[in-house]
Amino acid sequence: MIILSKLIRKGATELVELFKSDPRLIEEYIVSVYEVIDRVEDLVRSYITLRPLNEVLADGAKVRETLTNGFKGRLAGLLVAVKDVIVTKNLRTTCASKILYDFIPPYNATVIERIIGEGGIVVGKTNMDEFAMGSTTENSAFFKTRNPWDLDRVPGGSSGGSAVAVAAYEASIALGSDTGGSIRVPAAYTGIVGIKPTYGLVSRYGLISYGTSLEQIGPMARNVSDLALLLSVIAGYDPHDSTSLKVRDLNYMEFLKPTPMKKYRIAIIRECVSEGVDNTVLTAFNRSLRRFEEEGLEVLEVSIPIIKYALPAYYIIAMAEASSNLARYDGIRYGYHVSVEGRTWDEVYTEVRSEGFGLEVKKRILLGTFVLSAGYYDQYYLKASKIRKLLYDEFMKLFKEVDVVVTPTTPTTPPRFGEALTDPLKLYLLDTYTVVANLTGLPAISIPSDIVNDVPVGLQLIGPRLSEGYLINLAYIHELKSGLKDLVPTAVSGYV
Amino acid sequence: MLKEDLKVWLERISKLSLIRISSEEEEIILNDMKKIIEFFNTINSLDLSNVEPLFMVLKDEPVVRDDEVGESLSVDEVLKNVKEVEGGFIKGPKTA
Repeated sequence: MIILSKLIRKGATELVELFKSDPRLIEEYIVSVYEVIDRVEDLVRSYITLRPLNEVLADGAKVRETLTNGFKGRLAGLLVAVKDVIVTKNLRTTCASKILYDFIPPYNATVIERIIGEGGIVVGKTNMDEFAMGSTTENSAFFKTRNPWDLDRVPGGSSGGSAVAVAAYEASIALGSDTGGSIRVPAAYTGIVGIKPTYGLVSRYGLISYGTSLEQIGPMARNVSDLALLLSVIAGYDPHDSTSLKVRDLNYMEFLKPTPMKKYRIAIIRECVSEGVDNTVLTAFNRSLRRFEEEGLEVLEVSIPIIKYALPAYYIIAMAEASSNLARYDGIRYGYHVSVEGRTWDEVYTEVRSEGFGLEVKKRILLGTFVLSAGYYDQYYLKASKIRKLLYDEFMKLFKEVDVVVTPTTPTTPPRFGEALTDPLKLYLLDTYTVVANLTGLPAISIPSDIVNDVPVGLQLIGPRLSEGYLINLAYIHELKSGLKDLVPTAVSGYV
Repeated sequence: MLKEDLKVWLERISKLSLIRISSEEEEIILNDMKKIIEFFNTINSLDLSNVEPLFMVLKDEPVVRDDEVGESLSVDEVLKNVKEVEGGFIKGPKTA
């Protein structure tokens, strides 16, 4: 049995301070993370592409030198796992698809530039559902990722690889992306925290598009402080993204306060706790509510009947946007290729797309094409966009009365492999509570609510536009009261 | 509600999408499509004739940058992932 360095259990925020006072510790830290990867990666399979240890050590040595010369990078020396939907210069980026199996991006996404600029080190690219289409990470073209709490269960998705890399101590923090719950669902299923920021807060430049009007990149971490640290680095205006909000110099560390920074009024939505929720999830949810009530915060119940149409509206809009966004995969400029000799344009495109895309991606492109096609546009896409408007108005109205809405992150605990794939609607139902934040552009965080029968259950907090600081404050209070932070899942509990 | 037979529908949509469906995939896709379209149809019970659609949650129009020459990628970097290059150009199929 190997003895790992004590550094392995430390959070990102704590490590950065340690490295500043003794930059030599970076090497010990990197080696210990790779020791964990050596032991657990074959079981869980978080990474599609893992950088070799010697390369990462060389990056670590460079950061060590800059620290010695007075550099004050906010992520100096930290290993960051990156979902394989975010482009990384000279590091293969596949979107877990055969159609991009050999794509080497010539540039970095803005979030990657910012992480590197603060001394962070990308350790590898993580597994996901192909093109982020899925909620279990079972739709990867390469392999499935397993939940470190129970290897027979899915880790959630689509950012399942990033969630597991963080949960199993194979990286300190990670980036995911969230179009309908893809950060929050795997965060809930693996016992970590993850936030889908306000639409436009984090640059999407270099994020491979699926549902343009819905998605955001966001941080995933083992505790709220580490999440606040990474969010502070990646948030803020970027001229490369035309939908980027003009907000700058954000510091979410200021919201890590042990008491409520205002007299938050908390709402629960009747429709989200009445039918279709597992009893175990509901019990955990009620326990979390009591923690807030003990802080003297008011919890009230509201009803938003239109919410039951959010899920079909979300899938219509997401698939419509997908069919348009994925039209770019022609096999001519990059990715999976067939010879152009003796073929027409349509033949090349059809062959590349039929062979390169997986089944779930094909289904979503076909349905997206359908809901936008002549004769059906009004009935589906337009109508879904009107439901989006009603939902948006309802939430704007609600946030005049309350400060935060809480729901369980998912209606059930993590399914076993294959369970959610037997029926497409079963898979889509996993996103019931998360899609609301994407349709409305509002920020939403998932935090551990409880551990029931040895698997984690998540709690979701949704706030008004740009209320990430207050969500972090509430998440931090819940973390202090529940003690649910830096959790160690079963798969690594023998040595981490 | 589909205005046509599901199989004819799939043929038409797959042609529009430039995606060919193999015979093994067809049964799964038809089966799933039926369920998903029924699920989509649940929104039909709502009368939304007086509601404006919302396509984008941003309050302001997306901004475009000033038309000034900035840094860009070199031709070599751009062509790095191209499989068929001829004389610095990307080779595509013949246009009939």
